[in-house]
Amino acid sequence: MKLNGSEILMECLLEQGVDTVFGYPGGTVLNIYDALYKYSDRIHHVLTAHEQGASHAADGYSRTTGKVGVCIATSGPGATNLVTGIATAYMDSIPMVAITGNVATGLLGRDSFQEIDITGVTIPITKHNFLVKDVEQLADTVRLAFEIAMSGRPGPVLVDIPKDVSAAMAEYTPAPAAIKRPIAPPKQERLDRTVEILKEAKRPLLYIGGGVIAAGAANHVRALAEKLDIPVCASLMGLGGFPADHPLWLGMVGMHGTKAANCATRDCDALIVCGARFSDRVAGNPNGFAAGAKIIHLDVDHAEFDKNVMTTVRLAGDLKETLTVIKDALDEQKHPEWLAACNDNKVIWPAISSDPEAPLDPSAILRTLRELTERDTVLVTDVGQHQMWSAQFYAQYEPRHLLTSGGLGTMGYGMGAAIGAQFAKPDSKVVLVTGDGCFHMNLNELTTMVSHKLPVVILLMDNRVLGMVRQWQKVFYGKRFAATDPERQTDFPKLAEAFGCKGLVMEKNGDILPVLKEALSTTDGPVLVDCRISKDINVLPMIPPGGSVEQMIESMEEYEK
Amino acid sequence: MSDNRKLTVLSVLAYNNPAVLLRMTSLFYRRGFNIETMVACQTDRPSLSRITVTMTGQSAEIKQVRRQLLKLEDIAKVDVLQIEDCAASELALIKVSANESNRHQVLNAAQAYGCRVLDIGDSTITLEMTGRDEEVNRFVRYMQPFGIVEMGCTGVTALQRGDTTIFDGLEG
Repeated sequence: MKLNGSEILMECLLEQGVDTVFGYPGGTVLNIYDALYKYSDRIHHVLTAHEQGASHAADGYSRTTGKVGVCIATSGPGATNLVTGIATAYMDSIPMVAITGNVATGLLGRDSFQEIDITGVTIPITKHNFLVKDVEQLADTVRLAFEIAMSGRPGPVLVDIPKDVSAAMAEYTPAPAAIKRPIAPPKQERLDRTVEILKEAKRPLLYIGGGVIAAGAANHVRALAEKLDIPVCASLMGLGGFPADHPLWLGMVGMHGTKAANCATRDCDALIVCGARFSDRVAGNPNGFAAGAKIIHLDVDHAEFDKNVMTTVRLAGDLKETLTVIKDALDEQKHPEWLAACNDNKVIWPAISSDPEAPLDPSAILRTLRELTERDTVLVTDVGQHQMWSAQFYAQYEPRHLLTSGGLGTMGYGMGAAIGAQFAKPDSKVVLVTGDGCFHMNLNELTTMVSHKLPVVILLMDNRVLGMVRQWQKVFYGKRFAATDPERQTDFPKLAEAFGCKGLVMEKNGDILPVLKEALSTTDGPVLVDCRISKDINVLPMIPPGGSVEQMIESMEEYEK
Repeated sequence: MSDNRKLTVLSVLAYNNPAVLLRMTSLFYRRGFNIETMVACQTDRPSLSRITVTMTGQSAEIKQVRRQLLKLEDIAKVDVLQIEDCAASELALIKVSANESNRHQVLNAAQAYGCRVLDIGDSTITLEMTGRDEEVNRFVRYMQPFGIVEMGCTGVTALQRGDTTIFDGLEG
């Protein structure tokens, strides 16, 4: 059947099971949007306020569903506006296909209007990218883009389509959906060595990362942990990979991780690392990280081995299969003394104040939110103090329910990601926890939420400062608060109302429950809650960059002495 | 040109797609890998290019370079070889100043080193030297007192010694 390039693109998206795309039209994607009009009964296009929002929405959609997220933008500024979203997805290994228009092939390379070499721009932040110069290559290129995005360690792929290619006619032949490339299993002698180490280990520890979620291996981690009685900690990206109410759970590890998790990495004699990469936010001091342990590293990406921390055994392969092989090769174990030692380091949270006039405390807001929301609630965050509070105080029980920019740390991620999450799970509650700094970056997407009546609850941790940077200035820069106290006068509830969104205010402890209840019961569109917190609340504990658990700051008052 | 540190050769087989060299050099740059030389050419298989990279890094770094390269979609294979296990050669073109008084000395030296004389100008001679990098380096050092006017060098290209080839074990 003869179709034009844009219709071929639609057919290929349908082949891959795509029914929702996020984007923004423009001159060089007019043909593609004309096809989207024709295919609107089968492909739902969500118009965002800005291409960056579309890229984060595709990311949020992907993180929620596990499917490949798709975003579309025009050439030039449209394409460059996707860059932050693509980089965010790249750093967190999120499968995404970004489709950009470009000027017609005859105009390429001449600095034409809205021309940019977006394949050149995105080489460092994509798994791969394509410039399709021949419509005959288009279908197979789109199919390959999906295959690459989802295979091995997932990530974004960009397909750049010049305007004449999206118009040119070609024969379209249907094909089945792309499948993931097979992953070779680890070498037997390395599995044998792993089993030997775990047989002898007295103080084993599991450290899980986003790879566990990408691989769908949460149940396999749990099965191994339970059979061998191994406590578990996770990076920010690994949260949800192990249930936070499990007795073996120690919490998040790293800079703002729990004392229990960080002490366990110091004290363990065998560390099993699953789909994690020893980022500098986890292993601040890579040479001293788990220094007394034999380290067994499971990952699908060979290049993660010995990149940041040198390991004892490297097991390349699919996490599910490798974890199953290890579990089946070992008898049940018990480590009561080790677990007791780990549990001794667990810090019990103080009870939430019952004084209605007490100042607003973000941990109380998040803990109350957790109590009020179902387990299928998707929590989206922006980046900064509120992100760490969310990681610390909003417990995660299952994979794909925490959407946060862990690797790139993208302020402004949350609005777009929340839109993507709500389209992915229209029947689930989506809550965005953001800060006033982040919200100011991409608050334009309120309009998208309102247009589509998305009932996203936006909890704005409003301390009127750029809190995390300010905290670093407080601790490491002698309280010289450069450019972190912008003295903005934004009236957030009024701003919300101007967008057609409900706006609420939370000012003191007694407001938490009623205001959260009101926000969560709103179903006909977004609601913004301006949570007016003090600018002096810190994220603690904190291990200074480059440091280890010995340098952990648990109380700012103690530290300032 | 390299100094006397031990050279490792990465023989890279890449699909002949657009920007494959850009993808490789971008990777070297953003990960801070220091390379000595890089030579690209077609192979007898039209869809495949061979890129020979030399590095002087530690073995852990070389392993990381190899693993990162293999993540690039367009790279089919990376063989890590020690220079002594390779039939390796590079080519240098050297324009030496040569007047009537020393022209014979330059030509004699060229002959002794097995160089080809490519051009004789009024006050210069252009020589072509091929060989292992240390041979080329030695020749350049020898020529320096005469006055090197300009020179160009290709960098190392290398094949593994013996009967094995980079195509061994390649799918398809």
